[in-house]
Amino acid sequence: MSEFIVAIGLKIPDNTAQTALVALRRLGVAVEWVERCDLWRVEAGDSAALHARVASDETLFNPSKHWLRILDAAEPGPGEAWITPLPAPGCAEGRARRLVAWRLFASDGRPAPRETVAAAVERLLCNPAIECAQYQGKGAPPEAPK
Amino acid sequence: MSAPRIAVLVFPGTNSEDETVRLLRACGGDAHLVHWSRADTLAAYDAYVLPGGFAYEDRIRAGAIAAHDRMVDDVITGCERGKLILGICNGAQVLLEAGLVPGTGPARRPTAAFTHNAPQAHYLCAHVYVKLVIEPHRSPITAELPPGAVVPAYAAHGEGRLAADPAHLREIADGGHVAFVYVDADGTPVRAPNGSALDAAALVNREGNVLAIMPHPERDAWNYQHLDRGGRTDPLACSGGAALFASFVAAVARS
Repeated sequence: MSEFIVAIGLKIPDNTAQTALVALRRLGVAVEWVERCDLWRVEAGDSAALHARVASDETLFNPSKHWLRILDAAEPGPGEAWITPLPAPGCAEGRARRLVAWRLFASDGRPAPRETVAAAVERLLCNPAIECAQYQGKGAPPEAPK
Repeated sequence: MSAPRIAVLVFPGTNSEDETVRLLRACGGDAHLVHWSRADTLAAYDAYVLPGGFAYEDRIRAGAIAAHDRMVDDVITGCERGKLILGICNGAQVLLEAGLVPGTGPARRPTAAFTHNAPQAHYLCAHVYVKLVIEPHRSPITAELPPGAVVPAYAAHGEGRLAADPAHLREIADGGHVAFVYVDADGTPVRAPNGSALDAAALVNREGNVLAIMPHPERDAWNYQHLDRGGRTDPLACSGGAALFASFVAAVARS
């Protein structure tokens, strides 16, 4: 068994990402565009079987409005921040852990620089009382309780 | 003496504003709805109430977007000037996201949250009782309540569990920030039905002028709304939930 990261995002306009964009700009964070998707850390035998299984699970994936990918990398890329909810004390996580991935873009269309991602995380995208943020050069996801 | 002017803030997605205004008026307040597009009018009010609902559809996190709304700029300024501020349910979540409660960090740098219930992250819909566990005069908002007052309310939330890191939880406990805890009808402490740390149902800031409560006392304001009507003959008489609002309005009138 290996760990895979399943990404599920909206094909249709993402109102939450748009709201985040407006809020970040109001907070003075220089972003041109924001994208968002759900990530699921799961253990599975192989990625093709996992893809097929998730694609057939209508509680997770609706082909009319979602795209689905199995990620190659298990860490955030440039311009990305992954937000993981901290587990409640005494509560074991399920076999799949859900994260939210944000992708921020600068005005030149490139991924936003690290300091912009850091500002967005600190000012809006992560409440450190209940969440952990991971982006390039910052943080690792918290261990799930055994 | 004129009635104190109280603004009930309405964000896109707020849904408990009408019953909140109605109860504040019944308690003697001159309460008015102020919508997010009229934030420029907020400064003229004596006090603010943030009612329940799902402000901005709880996008990103419950209360996160509303905490950065233009209206909350004035709420933060009002807090610094000592205005009284009450947040209920989603309004409480906004106050925590805005860092006004427990207020142990800078504004808009939250140190705690009301987050997903545990152990099951299910929506909780239940009649509950909460008990005042601070000395009533610790906060002007609770000053008219008797010590140990038990207030009925309805819990209606999926994210009402107080959570913070251990250091901040100690600060909340040791600093007297837990204003109400969950109890049974007799006032005996019970485990919080949402897994809330410290069994907290409500938090107050250090200065005492901001109170954030998760269950809805305004939904148990008259006898006809109360779960146990035994012995209560007048359905339109105030039930226990109104007491917190009466204390709040009285405090605003004194301020």
